[in-house]
Amino acid sequence: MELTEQQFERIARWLDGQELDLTAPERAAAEDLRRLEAQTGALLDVALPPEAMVRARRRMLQEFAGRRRRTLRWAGVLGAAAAAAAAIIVVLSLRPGPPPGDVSQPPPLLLADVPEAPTQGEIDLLDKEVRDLEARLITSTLPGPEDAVLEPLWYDVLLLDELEVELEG
Amino acid sequence: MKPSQLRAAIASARAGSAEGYEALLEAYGRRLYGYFLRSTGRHHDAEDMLGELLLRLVRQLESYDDRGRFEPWLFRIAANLVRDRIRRIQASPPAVSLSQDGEVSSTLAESLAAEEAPAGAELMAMEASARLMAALERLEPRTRHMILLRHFGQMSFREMADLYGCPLGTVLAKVHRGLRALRRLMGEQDGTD
Repeated sequence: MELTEQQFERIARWLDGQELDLTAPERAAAEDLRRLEAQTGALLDVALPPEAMVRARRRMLQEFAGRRRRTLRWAGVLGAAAAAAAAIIVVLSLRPGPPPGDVSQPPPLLLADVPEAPTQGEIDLLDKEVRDLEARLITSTLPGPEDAVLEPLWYDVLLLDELEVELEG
Repeated sequence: MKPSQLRAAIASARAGSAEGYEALLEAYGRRLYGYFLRSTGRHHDAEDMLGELLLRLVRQLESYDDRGRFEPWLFRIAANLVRDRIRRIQASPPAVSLSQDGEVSSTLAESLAAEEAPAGAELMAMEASARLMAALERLEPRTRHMILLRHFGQMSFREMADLYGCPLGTVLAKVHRGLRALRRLMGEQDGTD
């Protein structure tokens, strides 16, 4: 028996977990689909070769380490910018201003715009995480002939990312 | 992976821990690899695409919305990768085999069968896999991808309807007919149907 589009929709909603009273033909089609999915699923499954898993993991961790390194670099840049901003504020506050009124404080807006610098502790923690990750990357790799090909490719990827960041900045 | 473990792994990865990403790879690596292999028919492509997906995961996990299910989000990225790869292959001229007097290796099943030379008991599994690939290849592309996403991505019909922008009933009808066609095609190859 051929089912209508509306009946297919009801079956789909039922199979997605919605509570519906299916008609006998609808229920038969739903059961048939479940049976076919189970049969086909057993054939579709494949094993992930261990060496492929190792290489995939290494690519992922390299990307992760690259991102951490860039974060660390930006933290350093931000810290330097904050220090420079603080120095400007100090210089401005020490400059002699016009005699009337209170000029010992810089404008509030200037203070509000100063970015908060990461503490040395935060920078050290990030740096330690990157070093730990690099150590794990080294221990996670299985040396193979493809390494010589993969390494420069992924350094290229990381360098391209950095170039993009610079261009955006 | 239990939902609580998945939430913890995602939170850990987002917080900047490599262990979080490793847990996600452990949980989904095999299914993603299977999806890529059954979509392209080549182990090399499947591994390459798995690596590419993991890069995207590291770059895009911040954009994942916790309110939605993680698997459809992840397999949507995977489906985009497959789509892009297929477009690239279609746009480039076919590769010519130098070892077979210029014969072009054109089908997914041929590619899969030609990649490795198995020994012993692996041979039967390889043959069954190649037969399945040949049958999959004969399905209409969208139907094939729906069947693969349903199995490997464990997507609901609603999620697939949203992904493909078509009515819920149409998705179910395509999957159902596709699965029946797949069984029939494999039966034909076995000579049992």
